[in-house]
Amino acid sequence: MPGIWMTRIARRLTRPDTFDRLVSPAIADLQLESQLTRFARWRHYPAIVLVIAWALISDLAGELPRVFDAEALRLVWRRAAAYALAGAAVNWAIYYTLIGARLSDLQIADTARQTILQSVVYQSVAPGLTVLMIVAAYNLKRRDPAGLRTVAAATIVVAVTTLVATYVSTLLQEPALHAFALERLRSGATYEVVRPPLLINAISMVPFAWLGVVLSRRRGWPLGFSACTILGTWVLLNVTGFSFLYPLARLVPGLDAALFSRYSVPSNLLTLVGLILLWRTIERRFDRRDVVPAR
Amino acid sequence: MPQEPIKLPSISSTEALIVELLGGHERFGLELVDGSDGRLKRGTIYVTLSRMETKGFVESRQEERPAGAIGLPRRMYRVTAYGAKVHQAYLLLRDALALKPAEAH
Repeated sequence: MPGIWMTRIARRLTRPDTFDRLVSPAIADLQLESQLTRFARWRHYPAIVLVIAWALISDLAGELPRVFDAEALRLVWRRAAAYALAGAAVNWAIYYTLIGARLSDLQIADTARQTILQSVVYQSVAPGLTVLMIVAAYNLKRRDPAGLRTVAAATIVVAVTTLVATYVSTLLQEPALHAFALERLRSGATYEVVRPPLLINAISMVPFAWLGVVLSRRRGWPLGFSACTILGTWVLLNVTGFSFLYPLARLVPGLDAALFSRYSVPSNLLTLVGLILLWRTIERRFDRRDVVPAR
Repeated sequence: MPQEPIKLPSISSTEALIVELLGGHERFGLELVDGSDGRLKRGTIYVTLSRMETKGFVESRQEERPAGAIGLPRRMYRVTAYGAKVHQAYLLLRDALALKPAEAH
């Protein structure tokens, strides 16, 4: 019988009433049509995908008011904002120390150094938003154990916020990029500051928001520990410029272009996968007794 | 004392077409698509029907099936009295607005 796997997926993703009202009729019609001709059946699949997408959007739109109601602002977002500020501060300190040390090695003029170090403040903002999402996801989940959809709705909002923050942060960092280039190339030399592709960079942050959702399915101290491990490692890897991958990139033809292109997505995703695996190993080893699965 | 503003129901041309196709009968989504000569699309019919149900223009029920039947039951739709009334008003308004100014007197 066709449509069984679609039924399973849709049931998991949508609210029961949305499934009954919107998705189930479409799949039932597909099942009826499949008895007639194979061609008609394939013609119906895109329609079901559209219906499921619409059902998801309407469910998420329905969840949004709950995510930002007065109670959520008081119990969830205020707490998350405090953690985000703390996370951004820690992140800023790490960046400041490490980048400061690297600038000393490069012997850059004081004026350029000052501008570059000032830009570190903006660089700390985006990971701070990720911390915000992780804490918010955890607290939203705790408030409403069945609300994975609530968490997803919040994730989308924060992903959009991250996109805007990345854009603003890049604009603010531009003077630092110019100062650095001018200093390094000396007077008379031509240079070009390549503006990072904002959208792609912002999208590369979205997995972290989703990581928040994954983490929110666990309770207790492992959540904070795992989040700190992942974010700390991420910051360090970013600061070192993924140099650990250079030898590997030289060995495999084409890997260099794939990993170190203008887009940070491939290297970000690769590292993310590694970090998640690390997190899972840590959790399995130490946290088994403390982990309470989400209800 | 000013009167409370009345919120008039709105019906789109697609919704009006669905009411026409349903008539006094009970039909399922695909049946409406097949009967519309390409004016209704498979991807949007279920969303439109769901919206119409929220507005109260149609009502639906799951078809009764014999025990042991495989697959999901189809959802059958029918026009409500309210839906028929709104549709009638829509047709009247449409006809009235289609008149040229000279014919309107």
